[in-house]
Amino acid sequence: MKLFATKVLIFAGLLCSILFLIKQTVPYYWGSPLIEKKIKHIAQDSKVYDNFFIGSSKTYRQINPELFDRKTKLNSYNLGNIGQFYLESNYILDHFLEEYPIKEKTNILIQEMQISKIADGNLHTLKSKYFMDFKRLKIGVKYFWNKKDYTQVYRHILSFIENKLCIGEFREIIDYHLKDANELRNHIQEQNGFYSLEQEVVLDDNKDLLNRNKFFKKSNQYKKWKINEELKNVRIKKITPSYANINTENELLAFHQFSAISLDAKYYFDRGHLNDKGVEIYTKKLGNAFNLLHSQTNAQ
Amino acid sequence: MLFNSIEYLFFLPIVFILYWSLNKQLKAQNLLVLAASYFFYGLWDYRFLSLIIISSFADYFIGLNLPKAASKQKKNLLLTLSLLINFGFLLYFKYCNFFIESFVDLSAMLGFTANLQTLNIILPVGISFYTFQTLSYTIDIYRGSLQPTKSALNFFTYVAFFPQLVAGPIERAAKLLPQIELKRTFDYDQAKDGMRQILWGLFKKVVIADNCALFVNPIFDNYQELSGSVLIVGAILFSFQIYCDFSGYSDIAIGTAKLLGIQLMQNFATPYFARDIAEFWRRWHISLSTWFRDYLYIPLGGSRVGKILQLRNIFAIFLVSGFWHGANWTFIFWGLIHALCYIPQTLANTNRKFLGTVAESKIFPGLQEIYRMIQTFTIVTLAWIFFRSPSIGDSFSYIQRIFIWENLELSTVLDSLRLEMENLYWAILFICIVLVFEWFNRTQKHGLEILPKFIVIRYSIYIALCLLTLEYFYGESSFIYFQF
Repeated sequence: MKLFATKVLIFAGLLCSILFLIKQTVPYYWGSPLIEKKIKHIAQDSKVYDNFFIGSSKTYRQINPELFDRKTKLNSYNLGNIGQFYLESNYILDHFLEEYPIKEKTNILIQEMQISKIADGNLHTLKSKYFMDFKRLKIGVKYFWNKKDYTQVYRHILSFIENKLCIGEFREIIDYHLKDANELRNHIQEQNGFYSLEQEVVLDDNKDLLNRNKFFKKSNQYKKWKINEELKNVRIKKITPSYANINTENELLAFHQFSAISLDAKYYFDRGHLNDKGVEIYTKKLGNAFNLLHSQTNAQ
Repeated sequence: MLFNSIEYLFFLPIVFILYWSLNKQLKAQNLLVLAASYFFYGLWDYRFLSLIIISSFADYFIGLNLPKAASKQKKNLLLTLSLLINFGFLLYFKYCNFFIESFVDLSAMLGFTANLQTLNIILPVGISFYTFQTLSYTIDIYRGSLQPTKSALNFFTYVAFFPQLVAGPIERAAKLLPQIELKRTFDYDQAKDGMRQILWGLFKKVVIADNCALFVNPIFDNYQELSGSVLIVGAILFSFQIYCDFSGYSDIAIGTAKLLGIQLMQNFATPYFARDIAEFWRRWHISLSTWFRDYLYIPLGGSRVGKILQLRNIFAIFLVSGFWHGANWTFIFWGLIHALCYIPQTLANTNRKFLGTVAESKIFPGLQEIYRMIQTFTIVTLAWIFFRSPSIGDSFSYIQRIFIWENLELSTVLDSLRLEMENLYWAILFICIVLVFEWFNRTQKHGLEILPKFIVIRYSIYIALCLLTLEYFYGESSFIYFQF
């Protein structure tokens, strides 16, 4: 029995080593074609950006860098992406800072987000684990352990193991790299990474989004919409790199965290995202808040 | 809990370690297996554990009292009680809605409306398997070919034994109970073979069956818009899907049992290398076909009666076998097709022509053998169309459309179904791998039993199969046979 168990363990060890080696040979995966294109575009662009927004679709679809820059006189770029929550954003930011050399004073504005749970249907998907390295694992496990959510602790550990051993990832990653990556679409390039839902309905003739909007406007939620008083005004605060869970000693980087906003229903495209008018209000308020924060800081 | 799940990868080693650490205490060991089995089943739905427990209780006490029965009448009564309880569960949970729907359809055909609604019944996983397993126990005691066990623990463990609880093989008490009642000794070679069989089963299930399903499902769902070539591909892929799904599961079950020092019966013996339908049925789902042979066919007279009654018995066995597979007329029709293919062989007394293995003591088959295998496979595949389709009408339409050849490239059609040619090539390659391995192990119990002796090649094969299995491990899909 001991001989059998030993041989099984040796075989398992050999298998894990091979899986680990395979993972090392797999080309770097950005997790999303959109983010990869955005980062490549920034790296190749002659324009120098001194402000980056990072977050989920609530950043990608709701913060217009051009409007923000008019208020703040910065050169901003929107690194938001659909479904990109805390740990993934943190991972993207870490690697972005490695890829994009920061030579001037640069602001990083991070969307205020809770660490999201790994849903049952998302467990084992590449999107929910490609970023799960040891650093992200520690953050996730600590957070959910304190919340006594042991299912999430288990899922985070499992995702980490699967990611490290390239389980169920190899084909998808190779496939991703073999397919020709198109350039970042012009309207996203021109808007420095921002792309609202209303624009997508018009420019991409996205009927699903249009239906989503129509459904929302007829829903009870729309009719009984309540503004969240706490989020009526945008909050923004300066945070330390360690608070942002970013390991950097680059003093040129200034990290901030910004909140969402709560507006009247008529400014929403669907229950989670603003329409173009709402985007305008939100971005301007964010710009004002940013200016106020910095004027207070300078005064001090 | 599914065999192809992360939970099982944790569950099995834990049970294995605890099991062999309790080797000196047989009772504790069996208790562990019983607890593990209930846990295994309960993770799916703990409420339906009650059915297994009730069925076990009933047949345990019936089994104890059968030999003590004073009269034949009392014996018959006890057996009838066992049949009622087990078939009662089966009829209610599996067939109730079928009978309601069929009654409503029949009423409509006869011109009147029956206001009956189907019930919201969940089908308990594995019910068709464990009820048959417990029934074989009581029937064997009734016949006097088996002595009842006095140990409730051993009997309950026999019924609930987790490797084969939810999808077989359907074990006979005469074979499994003694193994549960006796001390097991760890056998290194058996355990090693068990691991290989598990790996083989997982490969077939995860890499082949689930990959084939990606094509089979949209092809069968959209058959009205597809040309003959695609439908043929769909039918062939389904043949391999169902084979790899079910035989894969059986391999994992048998391999797991080997790790625990227990031998389960072989359930599949390379059925797609069969040279006629009779041989196919000696090689496909052996535990079920032998169950029907011993408890239905032989009691009806088997082949010892006149030709007409023998034909009746053959029809009965295939129709009931079809019905066992599912509560739909398509399964019954599938059984009927096999009966119609089997009967000519019975009439011509050629149903036992191929008792040995194809190309025995040869490496490659002869032309005639290849022809026979392809012929049998074609008939079986056509019958599978009825098994897979939602209705008999759909099945006939599907077959009809096979003969409609439109000038469409397969890749174009697959594109329209959002499928990729590349994945089809991979599926075909993996099917070829299975066929090659199973061909060279056609006299063995599973596809990895005999491998090259050179250790590097052997371990390379294991590693390759593990890597492929891990790569295709997700998504988790329920085994096809779980619906039974």
